[in-house]
Amino acid sequence: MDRAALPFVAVIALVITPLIGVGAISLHYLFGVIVPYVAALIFFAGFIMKVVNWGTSPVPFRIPTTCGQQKSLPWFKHSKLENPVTGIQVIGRMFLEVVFFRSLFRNLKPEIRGGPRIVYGPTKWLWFFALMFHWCFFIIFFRHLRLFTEPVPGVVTFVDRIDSMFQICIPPIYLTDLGLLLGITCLFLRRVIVPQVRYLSLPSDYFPLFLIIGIAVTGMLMRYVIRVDIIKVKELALSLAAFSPKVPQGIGVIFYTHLFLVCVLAMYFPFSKLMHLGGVFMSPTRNLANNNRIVRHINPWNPKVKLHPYEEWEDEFRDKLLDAGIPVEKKG
Amino acid sequence: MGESQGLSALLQKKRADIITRWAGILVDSYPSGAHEFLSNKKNRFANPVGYTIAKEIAAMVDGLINRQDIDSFSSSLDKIMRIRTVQDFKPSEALAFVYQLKGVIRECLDESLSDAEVRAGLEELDAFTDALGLLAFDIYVGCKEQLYQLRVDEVKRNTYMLVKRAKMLVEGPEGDQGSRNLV
Amino acid sequence: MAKTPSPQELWNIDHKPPKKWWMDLPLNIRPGNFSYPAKPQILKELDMPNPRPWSPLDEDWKLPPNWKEIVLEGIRERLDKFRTFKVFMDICVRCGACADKCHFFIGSGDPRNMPVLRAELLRSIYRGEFTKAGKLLGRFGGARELTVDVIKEWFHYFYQCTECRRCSVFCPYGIDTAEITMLGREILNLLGLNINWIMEPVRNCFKIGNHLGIQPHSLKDMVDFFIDDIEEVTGVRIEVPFMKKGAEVLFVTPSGDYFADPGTYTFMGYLMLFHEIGLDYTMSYYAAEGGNFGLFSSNENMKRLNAKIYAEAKRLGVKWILGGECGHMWRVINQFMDTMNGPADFLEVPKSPITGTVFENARSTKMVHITEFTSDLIKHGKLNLDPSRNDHLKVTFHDSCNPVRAMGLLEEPRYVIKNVCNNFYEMPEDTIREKTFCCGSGSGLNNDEFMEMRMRGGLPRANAVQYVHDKHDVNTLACICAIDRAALTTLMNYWVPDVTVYGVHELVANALVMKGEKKRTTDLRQMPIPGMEDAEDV
Ligand code: HEM
Ligand code: SF4
Ligand code: SF4
Repeated sequence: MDRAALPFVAVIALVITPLIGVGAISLHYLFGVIVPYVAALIFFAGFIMKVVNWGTSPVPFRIPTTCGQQKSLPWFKHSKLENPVTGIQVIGRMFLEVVFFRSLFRNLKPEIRGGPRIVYGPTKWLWFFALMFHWCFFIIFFRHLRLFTEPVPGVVTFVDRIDSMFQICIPPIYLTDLGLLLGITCLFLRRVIVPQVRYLSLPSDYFPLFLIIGIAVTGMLMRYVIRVDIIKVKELALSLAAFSPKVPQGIGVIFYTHLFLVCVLAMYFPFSKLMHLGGVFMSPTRNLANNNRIVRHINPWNPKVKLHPYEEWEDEFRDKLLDAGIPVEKKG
Repeated sequence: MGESQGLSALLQKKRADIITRWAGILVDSYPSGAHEFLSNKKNRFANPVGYTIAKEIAAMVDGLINRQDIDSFSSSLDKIMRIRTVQDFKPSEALAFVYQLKGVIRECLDESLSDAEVRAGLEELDAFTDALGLLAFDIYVGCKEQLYQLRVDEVKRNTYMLVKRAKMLVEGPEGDQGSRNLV
Repeated sequence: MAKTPSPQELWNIDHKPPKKWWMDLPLNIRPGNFSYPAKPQILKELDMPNPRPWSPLDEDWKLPPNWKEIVLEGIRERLDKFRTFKVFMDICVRCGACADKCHFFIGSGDPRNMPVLRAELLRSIYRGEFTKAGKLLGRFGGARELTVDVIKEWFHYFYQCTECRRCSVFCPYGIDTAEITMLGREILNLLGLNINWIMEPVRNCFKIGNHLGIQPHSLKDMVDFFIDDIEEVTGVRIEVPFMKKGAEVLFVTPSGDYFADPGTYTFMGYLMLFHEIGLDYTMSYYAAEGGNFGLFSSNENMKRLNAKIYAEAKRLGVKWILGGECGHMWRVINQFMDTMNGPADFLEVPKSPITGTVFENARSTKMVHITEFTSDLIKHGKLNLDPSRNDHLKVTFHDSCNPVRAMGLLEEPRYVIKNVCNNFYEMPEDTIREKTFCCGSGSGLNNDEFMEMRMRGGLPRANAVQYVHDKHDVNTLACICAIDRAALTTLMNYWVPDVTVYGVHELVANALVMKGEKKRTTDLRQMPIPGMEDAEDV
């Protein structure tokens, strides 16, 4: 728990900052325009730099982790997605990884329940909540496009419609809002409750969790409790997107809090483990085909090494080889 | 063991408690990052140590309740000690859990301790626990000795053909038969 | 007088480990849990840095005075050379999916054996020295300072990873702790921190041609013993071609098969098979070693040893190469050989001279696994097999880590086994195939001074064998790896003494009916085959 305390305090401080900055000393332009632009700049520049930096290191060896039958003789059923040999199969494998967290799904644990029968227990919580969290996060992110576009593209409206299908109250509750909150809360609880995971967690693992919880809570407050003027928010968003920022009067301070936390997340992103978003696509154990014996992989820095060539070897052992009647290249 | 029926019944009543605490002592002897993992006793294949602790401790507690003689404990004790011998424990640390049973039982029987019959039974149980400790010690030393033997055997096996060739050179082809024993 | 402490109080003294976080845990190095350092002479012969006598038990490890610079430069260089290193350092989310997948953690409970923490040992230094965030946040950001104690910790834990890649299977990003261990060992090499059990075989293999450093003429004698033994068992006298120019196939197998019991029987198995199908092959004394302990030391050393195979294939003028049963050897062949020492354009795409099958899957590397080759023979009915000779064996199969997780060789050995044995039982699903448990002795840790650790690390594997032993009376553990044949034998002796370890081609040879053979009454180990003892009288 000690390692979670500091990040918690940090996020509280981050929540308070715009409350003071906007609520008390009216720095609307700073929090509505400057911080978002800086954050966007840092995010995109940082993200690109990181990916380019990864990209500048070569992949000297083709080392996929193979998780199924290789392609060999025709009567052995090749496991195309677990042990891909073509580009298409690799894409299939990556698709399962990125969209369904295939590897995480492997986390089944056999259990013995009453007697020697083995049952594969549902210890897939990590997979389930991680998937729930990520999908909800993605859809929410996608839905936000309605604020930055005019007219709003059909898909965005469509997703919005589906997401808010359940008319429990006015305004309709988004399923993804609940999913995000539930997912991330469970990921957090898992981190503090499961001692093994708590043991290996760093403060920097708690920080994004608290931050995203903060974003989700302020977002939901804004939508369901302390309403803000959505027209004005859209005005601001569009003006930011058009690079002619204008800050409309009278948007509630809760909005600035939400926005500020998002900005912090964006600025933090490129320098943190959240870069797994980019990294998962660049991981050489997953994104390469197991076709090493079919197509030669080139190592750009293939080292020059000192060898022990046959001729030297024969020179060293010639007498013994001859004595034993073993054929040699040179007799003497 | 002796005659104290009353104690057996009491132990039976507290069976679950005793097992949990005694197994808990074993789990506690591992580094703190591993406790949850080891306490999850259901995963026989993902977690053989935890599974073995849970299963064999329960078997031994049942043995105590049913007043089985000490030989019937050796298989359970062997399973646990065989693991602890190859882990990062000093001999005393590897063995301590056996003696800690005394404390476990006293904790579990707290209210009944004033009862004279129970106290007499406890004394017997203490003596029995000491005997268990000695048995565990034998097993521990046996395992260590086996490890040394395995080291020697393996080195011999790894150079099996070398030894065979060396023998051949010294003794001629007849010397061959003996080295088969290394198998 | 003080009150006598209760038994409770007495026994609770000092037996609980400290509840410390891993960054604060002390290092516990003691006999039985580390491997002996490499001898200085050996490092010298391999031109490796800082040869000197030292011991992990000493306070002073005799590091070079500028060790810190060397390490940081070593990390920097490898970050620039390996994308894996950069990406794996940056993206771990510490979700813990890998934490309980390592056999060393399962067997020891030592948190620093969780793959994620093994990687954090290095990652924390990477953060502290190479990232701004780490420099800024310090421990809060999971960073720490590079000290001699950290180096000691690396040595201890990077030589407690068998590079089995089980953790990598479960990681959502495929983070491969084996890769981090390999890089960690390369960096330790720069300081002269390496273990003898790896460096001596590397040196022997480099200078002489096999792990034990057996000279060619002695190797020849040994092969002659095999020929005698085979004749004794089968009545057939075979020939074993070595250094034969113009043969069709070069056969390379781990040298453990020449001298280590029970690998020797597997070796006899290959020889009998090749004789029976009339394969035009040769072996080499120069490239006598398929195994490659260079893999466990550095990519350069791996390349130096592996280079011999192609060189010898070229000198002898063979058409393609056949490889014997070995685990890490096949990781090298499948994932590294062609890249390091190819292209093998002087060879032809492997084609079985017996069945005509072309091994398209080895089109570029030109090297075929013996179980691929034998499955093809069996499929085409080229072998006369009598599996009933193996009826006294109830067989299970141990998937070696490398053929599975660095290649995907799953069905071939099973197909062969099922054709030569009538009783085959799989171990539980989560302990085989891509989730297979390591023997606990891989990556050069199969030395005898490391025995306690090996028995711990092998516990999950042994435990699964125990299960099929109890349930199906399994008494035979088949495998396709030379290290396994040696290490699993010891492991079984400790945990499941009724189970014996066999190579797959030993089982093949036992079932193989050879032309002109006498009635078989014993198996290759010259043990009577139950039910066949009295066959002689018939
Ligand atoms: C906008 C992009 C993304 C964000 C903001 C994000 C955020 C996060 C966060 C905060 C965690 C930590 C959860 C925790 O600590 O318990 C996490 C974990 C994880 N992320 Fe992402 N992620 C993103 C994209 C992805 C993608 C594309 C993948 C595809 C594989 C992915 C896979 C995972 C997995 C498997 C976990 C482990 C769950 C855990 O740690 O409990 N994420 N992600
Ligand atoms: S499974 Fe992968 S991401 Fe998760 S803790 Fe392990 S190495 Fe890190
Ligand atoms: S590669 Fe194997 S031994 Fe190494 S950390 Fe991963 S699971 Fe453990």
